Amino acid sequence: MREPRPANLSCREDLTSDQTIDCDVLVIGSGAGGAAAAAELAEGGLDVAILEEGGWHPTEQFTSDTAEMVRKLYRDGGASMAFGNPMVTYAEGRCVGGSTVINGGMSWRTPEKILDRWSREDQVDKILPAQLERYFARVEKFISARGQDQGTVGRDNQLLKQGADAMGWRTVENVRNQHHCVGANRCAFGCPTKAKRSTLVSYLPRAMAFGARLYADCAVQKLTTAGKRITGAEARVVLANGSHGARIQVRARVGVVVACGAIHTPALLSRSGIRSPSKAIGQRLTLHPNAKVIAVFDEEVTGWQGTHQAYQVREFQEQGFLMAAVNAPPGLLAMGTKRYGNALDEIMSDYGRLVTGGILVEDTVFGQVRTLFGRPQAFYQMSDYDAERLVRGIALLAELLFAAGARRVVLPFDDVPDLLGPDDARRLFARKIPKRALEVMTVHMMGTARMGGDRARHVCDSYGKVYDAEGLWVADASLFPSPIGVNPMETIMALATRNAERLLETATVPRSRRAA
Amino acid sequence: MILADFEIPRALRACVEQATRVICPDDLEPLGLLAPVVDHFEMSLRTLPVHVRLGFLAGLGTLEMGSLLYPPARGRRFSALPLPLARRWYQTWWKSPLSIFYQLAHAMKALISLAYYEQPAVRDRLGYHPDEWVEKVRQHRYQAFAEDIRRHEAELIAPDPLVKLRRPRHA
Repeated sequence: MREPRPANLSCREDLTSDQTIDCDVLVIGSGAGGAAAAAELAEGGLDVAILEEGGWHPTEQFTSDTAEMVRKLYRDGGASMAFGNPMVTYAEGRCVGGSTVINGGMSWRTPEKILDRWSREDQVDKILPAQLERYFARVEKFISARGQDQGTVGRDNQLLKQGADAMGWRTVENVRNQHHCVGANRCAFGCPTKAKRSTLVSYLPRAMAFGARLYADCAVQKLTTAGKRITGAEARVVLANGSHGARIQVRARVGVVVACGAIHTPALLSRSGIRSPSKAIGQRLTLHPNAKVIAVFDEEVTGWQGTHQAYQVREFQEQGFLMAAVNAPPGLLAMGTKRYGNALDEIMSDYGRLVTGGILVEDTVFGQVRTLFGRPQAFYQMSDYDAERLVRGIALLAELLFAAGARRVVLPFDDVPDLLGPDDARRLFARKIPKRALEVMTVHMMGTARMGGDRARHVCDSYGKVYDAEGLWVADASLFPSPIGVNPMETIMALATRNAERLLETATVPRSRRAA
Repeated sequence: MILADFEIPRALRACVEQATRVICPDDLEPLGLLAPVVDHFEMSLRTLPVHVRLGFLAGLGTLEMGSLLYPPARGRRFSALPLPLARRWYQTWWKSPLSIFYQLAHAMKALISLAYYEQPAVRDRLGYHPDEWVEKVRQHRYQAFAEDIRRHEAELIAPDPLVKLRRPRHA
C-alpha cells in the first residue's frame, strides 16, 4: 500500500533555491515532541512550519536491509558516542518522525513518583498525575497506545515471561503505540506494516491536515534573534551527498519550538548564542544506560517473529532497573557482541535459538553535552553505583533466562566467560567488573534543558519556555528534570501537548499576520 | 552526514581487507564476501561525522604501520602479515590498555561484523528470512483489520470534537 506524498511536504528536490518561509510558529524537529507540538498548534489555528534535518521515508521504503535502514534513519549511522568510562553508544533518529520511527514503541505514562519529584524538587507547575491525565489520554488516542492483540507475542518474549514467572517476578504487558501490530519485529528500522504509530504516520499527518508545512532535509544552523526575541531560524538544505544546498530563512511571528532531542537541542541553543541564567544548558544529561545478554536455547526461538518487547520485567523497578527481551537482526546483534571471528560466529550460528535480553538502568549521575565547533559532544561518566546495578541486573536477567531453559548466557563484558547455569549467574554478583569492560548503549537521552520553577537552576519554565528569551520553547526530553525510569516517548508527547496548549493560551499573533 | 563520494584511501584499503579477514569467520573468502563486506564498511564510514571518519582513517593508518614496530611482525605492515600473525596484532589492540586503540579495534569490529552478518548469503546460512514473515503478517493486518484501520486513519486527521478549538489572540 503506497502512501501518497503529502501536499504540504517539501524535500530537497523541491528546495533548490534560497527562500524565505513565513509562519506563526517554527517547530524544529519532527519526532515525539516536535510533531505533537506542531499538530496541537496547527489544530489551534496557528500557521506552523516544521523543519526536519532528516529525509522523508514513507513506510514502503522500510525493508529488511538493516544496514541500509540504519544509514537512512539514524544519525551518524547509529554510532554516536558519549565519551567517558565506559563509552556509551547512543542512537537517535534522523528522519521525518525522528526517533519515533526507530524506537521499540513502548508507550508508558510518567511514573507518579517521578511527577511528584518534579513537582516537589523542581517546582514544576501543574505536573501531578491528575493534572496530566487528559494530556496522556489525548496522546494515547492519537498514537493508539494499547496492549498487543492476542497471538502476536513471539517465542522470545514468551520465554522471558516464563522465566520471570518461574522466578516469581512481576512482569507487565508493554503498552505500545501500535494499531493491530502483527509482530513484524522491525520496529527499530521503520515499521514495514505501518502498525507502529510513529509520528511519521500519526501526529505529522494530523499536523499537515491542519495546515502545517513540513520541510524535510533542512538542517537548522542557528536561531535568529532580535534582542531577546527569537525571530526564526537559518537553515541549509542537506543534499544527498551530505553537503549543504540552498539557504532557508524562516521568519516566525510568534516564536520557535525546539525539539531536536537532548543532544542537539542544547547545541542549537548554544550556537545561537542563547544563554541561560542557570548556566544549565547542556548540563544534567541522563541516559538510562542499558546492556544486553544473549541466551542460547535448545529450542527454535525465531525471535524475529512476534512483537518487539511484549513484556517488561518490573520486579526491580524500585531498585531502578527494568528487563525486556529485545530481538536484534543478525548484523546488529553481532555489532554489539564483545567477540569477533570464529568465536562470534559460534554464537551467531545459533541465531534462530537466541533470546536477547536487555536491562535498562535509571541512572543517578549526570553527564553533559558540550558544543565543540558547532557540533554537540556528550560526556558521561557512569557512577560505580550504576555500574554495580547494571552488573547485578545482568546477573539477575541471566538467572531468569536459565529459569526459562537457557543453556548458556553470553555477557556484555570483556574477559568474563559465558555463564553455563544459574550458579554461574549468582557468582557474577560478587565479581568485580571494571567499568571499561561493560558494553553500554542507550536510546533515552534526557535533561539538558530542564524545566522547573527556578530560573537560577532551570533552563525552561514549567511549560517549556526558555527563561530570559522571548518566543522560544523546548519540546523534547531535554525538559526532563530527572530520568524517568521508563521509556520516555509518551512523557515527551504529553508535555508537548500541555505546553502547546499553554503557548496557544498565551501567544499573541502580530498584526502583520492578520494583514497577510 | 552521508558523503556519497567518500572512499577509503587506496593505501588503507589493504588494511581494511586484512582487518575484515581477522574479524569475520573463516567462510568469508570461500563465500566471496571480502569485497562486499569492505564496500559495506565503506558505506558505513560515509554516515559518520567528518571528525569521526578522520579519526577512523588515522587509526587504520596506525594499525597498518604500527605492526612495523611489533617484533613478531618482523618489519611488515599489518596488511602484509600472514593471517595468524595479523590476528595476534589485532588482538593486542582489542585488549589494549590504551583507550584509543581499544576503541578503534572495537569500533572496527562493530562496523565490519554488521557488514558481514547483513550479507544475504550469511543471513541465509543463519536461517534469517524476515521478508517472508513480514509480508505474511502485513497481508494479514490489512485483510483482517481493514475497516478498523480505515476508521483510525480517518479519526487521526479529524478535528477532535472533545477539545474546544483554542484560538490565539491577535494583537
